[in-house]
Amino acid sequence: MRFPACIAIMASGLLLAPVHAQNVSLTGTVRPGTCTLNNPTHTMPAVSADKFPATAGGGVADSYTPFSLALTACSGVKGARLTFGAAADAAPAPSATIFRNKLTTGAAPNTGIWLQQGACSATGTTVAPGSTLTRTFTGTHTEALCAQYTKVGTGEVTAGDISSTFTVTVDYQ
Amino acid sequence: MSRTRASAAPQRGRAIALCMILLPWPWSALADGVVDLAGSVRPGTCEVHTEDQAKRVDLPRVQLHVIGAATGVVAATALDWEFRLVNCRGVRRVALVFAGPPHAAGQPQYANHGTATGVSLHLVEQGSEAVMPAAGHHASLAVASGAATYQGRSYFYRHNGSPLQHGSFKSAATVVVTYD
Repeated sequence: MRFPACIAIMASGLLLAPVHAQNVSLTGTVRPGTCTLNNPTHTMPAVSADKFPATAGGGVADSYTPFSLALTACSGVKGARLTFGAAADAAPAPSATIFRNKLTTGAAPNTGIWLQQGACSATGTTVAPGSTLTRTFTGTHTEALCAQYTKVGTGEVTAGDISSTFTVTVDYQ
Repeated sequence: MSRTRASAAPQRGRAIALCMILLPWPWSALADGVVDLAGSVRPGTCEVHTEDQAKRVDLPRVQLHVIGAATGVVAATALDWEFRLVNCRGVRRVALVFAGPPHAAGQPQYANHGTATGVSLHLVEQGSEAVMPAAGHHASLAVASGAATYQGRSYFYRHNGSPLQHGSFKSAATVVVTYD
């Protein structure tokens, strides 16, 4: 019985030999939450063609259409970056800061939609296709915008329809 | 001795450090919304040339023997006139409708409200000589360089069912303009 006991003691001595201290590194990420984003749909006022400026660039006050993007029900969000459409949504140069009229039939020629930050005005800050706005907030956020008709190109504006649809991409922080 | 080692094992176990690093993710979780904006542009308008507003066309003075007895247009009384639209903006075409009281029901000539009898006013388009009936004559003109002009022609028209008597001659037509 003594021999086996000795073996047992030796074995336990091996098992209890000093071990090296080790660090276990666990890395991970916490991704932002999200919000609920509305999909604004607005019918802008019908405006007489003679209300358009003679040259490209000016807006049409009679067409002012205020609207907003609403980020609601946000969870784990402390900010967002909003990207308004893409370059493909722009009118031809030199009016690339204007959202183009995408209608292929019945379109009012030489027209586009000028998107602005905040309240409608003749000199508001342009939100160009593909541009971004970065906002810090918690809870909810409302981004006030204004759409108005504008003349693009050099030709005359005559009767027809205007339509522009674009995607707003939101990256949350 | 063995007890000492046995008790040392848990101490070694505590030397293992857990290092957990939680990194904030700068931008993530894409979400899209769609903005849909639609509207329309109505045609613009033109101005009636100042000389053609409440336009008065002075018909020629004619003697009765020039008008004659036969029913029909009195060619010698032809008088050209124009109706001019200017300063058109945002207008591709204009539609005109000329109309007025007829000489008699169903007849294309315009009535005379003056004192002369046996005559009426006959209007045609210049060039085509298409009759402009009093019940309504429709014309469509393209706008070029911001202007459009309708060119008409007037004649006296003899109606031999009525006695021809001299006197004044007045007739009125209105024109309604719509834009495209």
